[in-house]
Amino acid sequence: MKPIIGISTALNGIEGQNYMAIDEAYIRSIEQAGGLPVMLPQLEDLEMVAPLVEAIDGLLLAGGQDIDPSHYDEDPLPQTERTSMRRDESEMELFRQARRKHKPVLGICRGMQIVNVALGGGLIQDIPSQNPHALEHARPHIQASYHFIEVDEHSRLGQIVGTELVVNSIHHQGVAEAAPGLRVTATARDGMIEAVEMDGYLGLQFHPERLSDQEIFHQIFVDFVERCR
Amino acid sequence: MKKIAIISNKKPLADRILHTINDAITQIIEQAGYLPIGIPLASDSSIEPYAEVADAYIFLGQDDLNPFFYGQEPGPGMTALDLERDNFNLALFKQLEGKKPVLGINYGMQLINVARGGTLKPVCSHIIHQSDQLAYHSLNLREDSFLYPWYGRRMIVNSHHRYQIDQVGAGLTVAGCCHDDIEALQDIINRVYAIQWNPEQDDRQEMHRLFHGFLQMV
Repeated sequence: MKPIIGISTALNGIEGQNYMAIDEAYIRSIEQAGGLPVMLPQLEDLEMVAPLVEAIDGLLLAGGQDIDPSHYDEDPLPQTERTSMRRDESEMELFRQARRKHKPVLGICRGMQIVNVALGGGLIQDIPSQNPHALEHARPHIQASYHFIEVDEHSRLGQIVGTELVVNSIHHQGVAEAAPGLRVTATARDGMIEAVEMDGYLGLQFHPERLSDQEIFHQIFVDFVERCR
Repeated sequence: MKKIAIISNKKPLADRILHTINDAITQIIEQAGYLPIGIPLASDSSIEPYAEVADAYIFLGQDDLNPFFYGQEPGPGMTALDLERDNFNLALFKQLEGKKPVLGINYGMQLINVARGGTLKPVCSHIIHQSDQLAYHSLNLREDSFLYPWYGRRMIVNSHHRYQIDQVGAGLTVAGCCHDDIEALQDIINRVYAIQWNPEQDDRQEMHRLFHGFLQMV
């Protein structure tokens, strides 16, 4: 049996219609790792999130737009881009329900950030303006930058990828400090948090789904899907 | 809680390909008390397990089906032909037939007809079937149509398609037509229902009756 992996979706307006959408890269990465990807729409009735999580074996919180700073008690900076309360609340509830039911969770980029917020942590709203000495973590038009990360060898990520890795980078927000219960397991050379973990959960700031034709990034998905069995 | 699967479409956005499900439909399903789940266009090895994840399935889209599947060549004005998508959808429909209720909308209806050996032809009509404004036209329903209990003998629907049903596939019967076009098909025994128009793009509240009716048959 293939484990059913629920992937969170973004709301996109295309040709006058609204769609719940995910990047094909997530679908391919999960399938190639042996999972059965399904798309989880953003539910408005949060009471229905629990039965939705009941239907899946693991949760992938995908990348996407900025998270509304009101969830971590801040007002928006001018650089903070369009947010969605519906997506924020739906994904935080997905995470809570997955934790309650002991289902593994993988958070990618925004997915890692929303988990940090759900657990009571805060974010850097805009890296270039709040930390001018940071590396370039984003280029315009979703082109990736690349940089080194150092990985804790005693972590789950360290067991998969080793202690040093070059990753892609497509984000202007970041985790300010790990929320209570989370352990930082990878950082960039500028100190930016690149991976966090706790039992049953791995959060990554980079985008392995766009690199999963490389064995080392493919193995991140294999590890996740295997934990969902 | 019953789960309703919506099979995705592919849409390019910048350098990515998005798999999409219509949000109007997910909201209607949620408000009716069912769980909407999206099925991405994945590989053949996933078709069998996908047929198990939900209690009913909705196929929809506005692109054209490759005429290869009914023994013809692509005609002028066809959009976004995608063999991979058609293959996946045809295989999933065949896997579901007789086991789970299926609703086909627009592309979904044409897919069901072709899966049953039927054919399509370009729209040839004085009615605007392919207006960007989704022009409305009327539809006659027979008493044995699955639509009859909700709409009676006559209903008004929108229209946005370049191809239409030509020969009706095996086991399907006409459940609604306008004067020059078959607009709905059904196979009651196998719980297969199909419509040519796009109720999810119609703001009229009465369009919800169709979805609620389908969901109640699940």
